[in-house]
Amino acid sequence: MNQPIFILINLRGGVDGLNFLVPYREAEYYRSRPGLAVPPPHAPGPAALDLDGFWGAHPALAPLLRLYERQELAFIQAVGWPGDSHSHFEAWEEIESGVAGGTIPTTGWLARLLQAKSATTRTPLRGVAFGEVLPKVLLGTLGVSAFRSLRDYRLRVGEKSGLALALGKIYEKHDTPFSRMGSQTLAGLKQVEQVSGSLDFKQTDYPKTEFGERLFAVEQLIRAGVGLEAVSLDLPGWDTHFGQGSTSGAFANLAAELASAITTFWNRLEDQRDRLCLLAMSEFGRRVAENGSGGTDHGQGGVMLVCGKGIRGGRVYGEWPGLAPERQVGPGDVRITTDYRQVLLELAHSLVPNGALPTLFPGYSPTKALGFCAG
Amino acid sequence: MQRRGFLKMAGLGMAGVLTAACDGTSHWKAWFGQGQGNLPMADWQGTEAERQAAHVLNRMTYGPRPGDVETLVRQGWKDFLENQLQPEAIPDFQASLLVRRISTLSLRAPELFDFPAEEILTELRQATLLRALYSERQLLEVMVEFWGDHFNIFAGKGDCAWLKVTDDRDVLRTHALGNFRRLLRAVATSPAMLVYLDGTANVRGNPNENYARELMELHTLGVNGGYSQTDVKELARALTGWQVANRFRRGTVSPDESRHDGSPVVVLGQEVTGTAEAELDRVLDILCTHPATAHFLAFKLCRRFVSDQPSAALVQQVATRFIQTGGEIKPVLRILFHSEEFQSAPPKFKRPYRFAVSALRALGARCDGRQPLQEQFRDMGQLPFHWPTPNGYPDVAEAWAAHVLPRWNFACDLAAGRIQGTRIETAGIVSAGEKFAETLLQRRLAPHEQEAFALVTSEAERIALLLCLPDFQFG
Repeated sequence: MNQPIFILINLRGGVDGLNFLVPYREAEYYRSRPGLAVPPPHAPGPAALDLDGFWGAHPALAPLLRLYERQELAFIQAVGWPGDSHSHFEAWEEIESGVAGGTIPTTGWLARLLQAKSATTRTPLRGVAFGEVLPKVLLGTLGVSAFRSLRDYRLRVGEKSGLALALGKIYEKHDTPFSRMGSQTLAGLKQVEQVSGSLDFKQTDYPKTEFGERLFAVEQLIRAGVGLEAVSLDLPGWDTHFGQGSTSGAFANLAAELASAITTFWNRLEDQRDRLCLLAMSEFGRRVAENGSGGTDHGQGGVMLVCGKGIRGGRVYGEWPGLAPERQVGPGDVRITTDYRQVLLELAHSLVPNGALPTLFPGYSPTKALGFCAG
Repeated sequence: MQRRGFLKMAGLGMAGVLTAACDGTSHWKAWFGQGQGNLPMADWQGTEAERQAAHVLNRMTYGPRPGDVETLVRQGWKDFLENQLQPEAIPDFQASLLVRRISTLSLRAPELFDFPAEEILTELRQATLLRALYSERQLLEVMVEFWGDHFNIFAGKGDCAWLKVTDDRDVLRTHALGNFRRLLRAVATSPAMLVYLDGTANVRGNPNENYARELMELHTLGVNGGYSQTDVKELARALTGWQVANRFRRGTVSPDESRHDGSPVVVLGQEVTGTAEAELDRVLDILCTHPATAHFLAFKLCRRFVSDQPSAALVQQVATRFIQTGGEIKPVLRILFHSEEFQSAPPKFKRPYRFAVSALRALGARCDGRQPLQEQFRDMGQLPFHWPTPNGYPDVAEAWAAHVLPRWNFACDLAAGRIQGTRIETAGIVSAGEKFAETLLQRRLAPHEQEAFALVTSEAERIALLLCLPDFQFG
C-alpha cells in the first residue's frame, strides 16, 4: 500500500526567519539591520525575490520559486515554539515531544503519529532518522532506525559469515526495547541490501553535502519501497550569532543548500509526489535587530516551509504581527502568531485523513486552521 | 596472563540477560529509566565482592582489563577510590611514555598554529584514547571526559582545533578533580571556549549573548535554574572585553578594557560593575554559589555515574555536599560513590566511546590510537571533540540505542584485525569454545546463545559476537 511519506527537515540552530522570508515593506526591518538586511525586490544587485507584494524570499532560495509558483510549496511566518527561554536544547526537546511547557512526554510527536497509524507494523524502516542518535521526535514506536548514511548501512562480514544469523538468534530471543533495536537493525539490513546500488549520487543535482546525500538516500528508500512513512533529517548551522552575511555568506550558503536539495528531491520524485509531504522547520527565529558581530541572536517567531501535493501552496500563511518596536516581544523578537503545533496538527490530519488521532500535542487547544492543507 | 583471569576481568556478565518485558509507548522509560532497577542478576556466578568490583571498574574506569577484578577485590573499592582521587600519586609509566611521544601536546598556543589543524586534532584524540586505554589514573580520565561534555567545545569551529589542545591540558586536566569555581574561571578564559561561544565577539556596545546564555543554561544554573532573559542580556554585558589574540601571540587570552562595558548591570538581582576581570569573578561567584548550580551539577554527575534517572534524594545529597565544600569535586564524588544508590545501581547503557574503549581494555588490545581507530569512533557517533552543539554528547540510553550497527561493525573489524594500528591476540583468547564464552559472561550460556555461537565458525567472529551481545552494551 502506498502510505503517505512525511519528511521532516530540522533546521537546527534557529533560522533567521526575517532574512529567509523578507518583509520588505517593513521600514523597521531595514532600520534594524543596516548590515544584514536583504535588499527589496528589484533593487540593483542580489535582492529578495518577490512572493506576494509584501514578502520576498532570500535570493538563495531561488530554486524553490518554481515550486511556489506551481502552488506546491507554501511558507508560514511568525510561527514557532511559544517558550521564551531562547534555549536551543529546551526548544527542540519540547518541539520534538510536541509540547510547550508542562510535563515533557517520554515519546516524540511523530512517533505517536506512527503509533496511531499502526501500532503493530514492525517494518524496520518505517521511520528513519539520519545521524548518530535517534532524535526525540521518533522516539517511542516500533520500526524506527537511525543511521548516518545508506552506504554504511551494512554488516562488515564476509559473504559466508553466520554472524548476522547468530545475532538474529540472540536479539530475537527477548522482547526488550534494546533487543528490538537489534532485531530491527537486522531486518533493516536485509531491506537495504535490496536498495538499488546503481544510482550514483555524483551524477545527481543534489548539493554535494551530507544533507544532499541524505536526501538522496531518502529518495532511494522511497524508490525501493521499504515501507517508509516518516523521515527526520537535519540541516544544522543556522545559529548565526557571528558573520551571518546578507545576500551572500554563511546564511545564504545554507539557504542555497536547502533550496537546491529540496528542489532536486522534488523534481526527481515526480512519479511519487502524490505521497510526499515535506516540512522544514527550526526551533525559533532570531532577533529583529542585528547584533554587533554581523549576526543575530536568538529570537522567537520564525518561518516554516511546507511542500507537498496536498498543500495549498503559492502563499505565505500566518498573521503578520509587524516589526514596529511596540509590536516586538521579549528582548526584541518577532511575536508568534501561530503556535508550531497548529501547523503540525494540520499536517497530521492530512497524513491520517480518516483515522482518529491520539493526543499528539498534550495541552494544546487548536486555533483556527491556517488551511494550508487541501484536506 | 592466565586465561581464567583474563576472562573474568572482562566483566561482561554484569547485565545478565535482558528479559524485562514491556510494551507500548512507555517502554523506553520503563526499561531504560527507573524501571531497570531489577535487571536479573540471579545468573551472576561470581562472588558478591567480584560483582561489586566489576561494577566499580565499569563506572570509575573505562572498564576492567585482564586481572583488574581480582586486584580490586584484594584492594577493596574504597581504597581504590581514594587512590584514584589522588591521580598525581599513581605511577603511570605506560601511558606517560606513550603520550610523551606526541609532540604537539605540550606546545603552547602560538606554536600550535605551525601545524595543520587535522594533525593537531588527530594527535589530541590519540592522546585521549591512549590515556583512556592505558592510564592508571582512570577516574581522572573519566572526569576529563565528563567535563569535556559539560563544557563541550566543537573542534570544527574557528581556531578551536588548535585551541582545544590548551583547553584540554590547561583547563580540564588541571581542574578535573579540583574546585568547580576555579574550573569555571579557567573555562571562561579558555581561548577555545571564547571562540566557540562567540565570547570574543562580545564587546561594549555590541553584546553577543551566546556565551552568557550557555554559561547559565548549560554550565551552571541549568535551563530551569531561575534566570530571566534580562539576566542573559546583563550577563553578556558583564562578560564583554575578553579577547583572543589572532596575530601576535595568537591563541592567547587577555581582557581588553577598551572593549569592556564596565557600567553597572544586574545579574540575578545583584549589581555588578568594574573591570573585565572584576566583573567576571563577581558573576562567577554569583553563579557558583547559586543553589541551582549545585543541583544541576549534582544531577549531571549522578546521571553519568549512577543512572539515567537518578533519584531526587541522591541528587539532593550530592548537591548539599557541593554547597558545603564550595564546589570541591573530590568530596562530591566521594559521597556519590559511597551512596547506596551507586552501589546498587543497575547496569547503564554504554555510550559508544565507553563501549569501544571497554572492549579494547577487556581484550587487552594494543592500539596506537591513531586515525583508523578514530574513524571507528566517528562511525559510532562519538568521536571526541566532534559534538557540534554546546550541550555535549547525550548521556542517556535512548539517544544511543538505535545506533547499534556501527558497534557491531567495530566488533567485527576489531576481532578480524582490520583496524590498522590495533591488535588483539585472538589465539590466546579463544580455544575452549563454549567454555570461553561462559567464563566471560560469568554464567551459563542459554540454549539460544549456544545455537548462536554454533553459527559462527571463525575465532574472530566468535569474539565479535561476544562484543555484540546485549550484555556488553551495558556496564
